[in-house]
Amino acid sequence: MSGFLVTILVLHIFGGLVGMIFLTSYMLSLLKEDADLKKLSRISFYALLAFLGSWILGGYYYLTYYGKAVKPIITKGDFVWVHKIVMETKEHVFLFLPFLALSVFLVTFLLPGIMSKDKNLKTSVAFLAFIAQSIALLVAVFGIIISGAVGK
Amino acid sequence: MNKEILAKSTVLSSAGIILVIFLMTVVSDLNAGFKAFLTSVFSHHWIGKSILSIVVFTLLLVLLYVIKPKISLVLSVWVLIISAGLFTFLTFAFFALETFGVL
Amino acid sequence: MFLMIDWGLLLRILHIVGTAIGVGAATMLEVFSIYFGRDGKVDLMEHEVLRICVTMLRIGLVILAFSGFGLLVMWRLRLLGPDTFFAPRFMAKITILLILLSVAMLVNFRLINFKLGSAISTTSWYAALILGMWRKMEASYFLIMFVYLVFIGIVYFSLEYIRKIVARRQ
Repeated sequence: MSGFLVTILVLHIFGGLVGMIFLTSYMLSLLKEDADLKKLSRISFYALLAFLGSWILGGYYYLTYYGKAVKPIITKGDFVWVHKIVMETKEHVFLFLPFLALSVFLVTFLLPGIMSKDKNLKTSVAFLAFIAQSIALLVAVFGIIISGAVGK
Repeated sequence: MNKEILAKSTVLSSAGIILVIFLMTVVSDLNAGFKAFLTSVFSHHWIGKSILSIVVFTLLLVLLYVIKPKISLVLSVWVLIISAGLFTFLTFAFFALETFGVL
Repeated sequence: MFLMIDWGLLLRILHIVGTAIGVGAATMLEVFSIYFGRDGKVDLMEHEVLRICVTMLRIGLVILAFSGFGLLVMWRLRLLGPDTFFAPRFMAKITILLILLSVAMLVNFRLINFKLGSAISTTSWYAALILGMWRKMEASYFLIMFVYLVFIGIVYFSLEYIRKIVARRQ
């Protein structure tokens, strides 16, 4: 793999990690009594940017390298199911993340006044951030499994 | 611009697009013609799904903003949460069942 | 050749630093919780100390996450494959890390008994440390996880015993 593609792969992974960290921070801060909704708008926006970046970089890696260099190795080995189940799930479920992050961000950004007073809304959006973060974590674990199936 | 309706429309459109992504995933896997269509128009089926997701999401957003659904914002968020969880599981289940020859 | 840095060495150092911070913070969090809780209440200053420990724990976790994924990329580039990635020791470490993250969430939102959550958290940190260091471990995944669960029990009851002794001396 060229240095450029390694960089793309690393940035794809780090983008996902950064998105997860921002969403976690968002979730932990939102349910506090004195939650700073302006700060949370920024945090959720950074999470959205991180996932968008990870989407584009991961897509580039997938389209230019995975299909021709990685997939043949996996499908010829003992772990064909890793491509057919894990990778296929990952490449499609990942598409959910930017929309989930966008929803978290827009609700926080557009309705800080309502959010600060409505406990039910706060709880539901915190849970939304949790679901988004959990899906991101699942995608990351799938990434580890896929990397593991690529041997010599 | 009504901020609450925009927020609600975004949330419901996200729930809708997750369903659409799942359907595109299943159809392109079971129907070679659809996959070939995506590849011919967008050069790769995954690019096609990504672009169509953005386009359909935008259309849904505009439509829902105009319709102004009566459902509460809190309930909309819960619909999105359930949609995300459910279709993540169903996507995994679909590929697992397909690989093991059940589908 | 990338920027002439030994990335493998740098990542291993960061991983060890993250582990040290995390294990240290988890240990001190346990020590301070027991000491501060001996009179049945936690005042503002004590709460602040506990908060700092939690922050350090999170910093350790973040460093671990980034360095850990960096090391996985290096494994991937070296095509180490299933023998390394699907090794019982590594799979157990990942499982324990996921348990640690889940329990941290549950404790934060008071969805799990705090004493049980902290016992699981402390055991998990030490388990991750030991699994990282014990390169020659030959145990199966299920044996490792079974021993881990047993140690959660041991740690829980040990901490309970220590709490009683500390409270008696108050």
